[in-house]
Amino acid sequence: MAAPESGDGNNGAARMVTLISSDNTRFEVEAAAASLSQTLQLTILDGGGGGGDGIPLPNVDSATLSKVLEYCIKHAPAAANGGAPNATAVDRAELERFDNEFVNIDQSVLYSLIMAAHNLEIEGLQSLVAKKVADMIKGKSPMEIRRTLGFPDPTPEEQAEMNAHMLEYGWAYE
Amino acid sequence: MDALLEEEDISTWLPAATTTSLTSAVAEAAPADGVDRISSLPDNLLRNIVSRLPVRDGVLTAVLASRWYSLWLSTPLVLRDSDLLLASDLDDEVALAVGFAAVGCILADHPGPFRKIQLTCCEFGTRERELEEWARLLAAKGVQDLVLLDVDDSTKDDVLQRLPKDILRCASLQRLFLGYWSFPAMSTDVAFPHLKKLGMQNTSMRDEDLDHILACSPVLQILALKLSKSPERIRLRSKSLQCMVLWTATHPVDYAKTKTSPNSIVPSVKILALKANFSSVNDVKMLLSYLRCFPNVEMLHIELPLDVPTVGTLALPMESPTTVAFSVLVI
Repeated sequence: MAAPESGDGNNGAARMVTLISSDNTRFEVEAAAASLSQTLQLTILDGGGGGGDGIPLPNVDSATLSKVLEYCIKHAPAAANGGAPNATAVDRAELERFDNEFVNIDQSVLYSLIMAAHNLEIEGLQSLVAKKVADMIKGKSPMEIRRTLGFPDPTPEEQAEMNAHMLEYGWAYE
Repeated sequence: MDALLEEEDISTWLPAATTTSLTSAVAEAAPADGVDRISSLPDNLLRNIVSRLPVRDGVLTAVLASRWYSLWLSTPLVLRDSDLLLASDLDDEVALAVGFAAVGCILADHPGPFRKIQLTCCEFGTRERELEEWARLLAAKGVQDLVLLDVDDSTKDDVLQRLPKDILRCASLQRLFLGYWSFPAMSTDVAFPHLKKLGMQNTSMRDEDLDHILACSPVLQILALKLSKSPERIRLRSKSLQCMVLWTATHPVDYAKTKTSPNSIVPSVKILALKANFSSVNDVKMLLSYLRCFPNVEMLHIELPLDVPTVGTLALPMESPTTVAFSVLVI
């Protein structure tokens, strides 16, 4: 994966680390981007991931990892600024635009992403996906939520139970 | 300097007028293959999703399946009563009654903790029994952030509903905003060990009630008061207070009663905001006397009505060499 030009002049050339997905694809990425993951940050601080070694990530497949790294590379400069209190409105708007576009994807990919973000402890990505899924649920009836999430249609018993719950809150079902 | 302001704009944490928010549905295609994949996620991730839903949608996910019911019960509750109502419901007695009943059900069903409860659409006038019960639940289930307004305007002559005593026993509170209440006869068991922000709007209390609350709030940082008739005298005795916001609604603050004495100096206050009405040079002088109570103010906001002519220039009585950021909100 091509790394973007480094804005980090502290250590001369940006340090690169190698991550290895569950299906054995190697990803070379700047340490600063990979360090958005709290889990990886510890390994990288210990000097891991450099040279020919690489850090194996047995729980993350290559398609998901590539997506995760796309997020990390985009967010790394802002994260390096400590949550970017100095970021300009333009920078923030650009990140927001990126985020909105980034989660405009299939549900199955969203769930793989949130699992990976959870395992790798990437707080921002986890929140971003959780918010997206919540937005998919908001403002819908229980039946629409079921369809959106791919739940099977309720059995008559389940439907009666849903009805009772709804009435408890004074709402009619559908 | 003003970490408090950076953390949160103080002008926005006071509740605005009732806003309704039945979010319009985002058009979303069902998964192409109709497979339920979300259920493969672990509970903590699903709770992360549920915690971001307005209460009405949260309750709806709870009826989907028994797993989702447990998830909803184990996610700290965030409840805004306005989320249970449509904009059109606000003038509809029946819809309001249904919303009120739903709030009661949710407060009773959910085991807590209550992260944030915001009740700004409820009329408590004839519902004293429910109000007492809700207050008991709020205290028992560890409410952290509470906004409680009584919007009942059916009673005349400024008769305010009595605030249930249990509200003053919510020891878990970190933020509290009260509007249109009259304080109960104070008992000694007020306890706000974690309260950082307190706001009160048109709430009547005796002078000693405010004293007592301040004395029982050892970590209070922000105090915002929109005054009506009482307390008549505000005595600030607090070592932790950093920011004071003061509006006057129906009567101007009588700065003449302000006396600078060792008892009335609050050295910890760094941010002071006042909305005041200066009709004479004397009023301005009195304000200066008032400001002497806050020797370490770094940020002063003063909002003046537009139609009042300028009566003098304010020379700030700040002796400290630190920069005074003097911002006049409206001149």
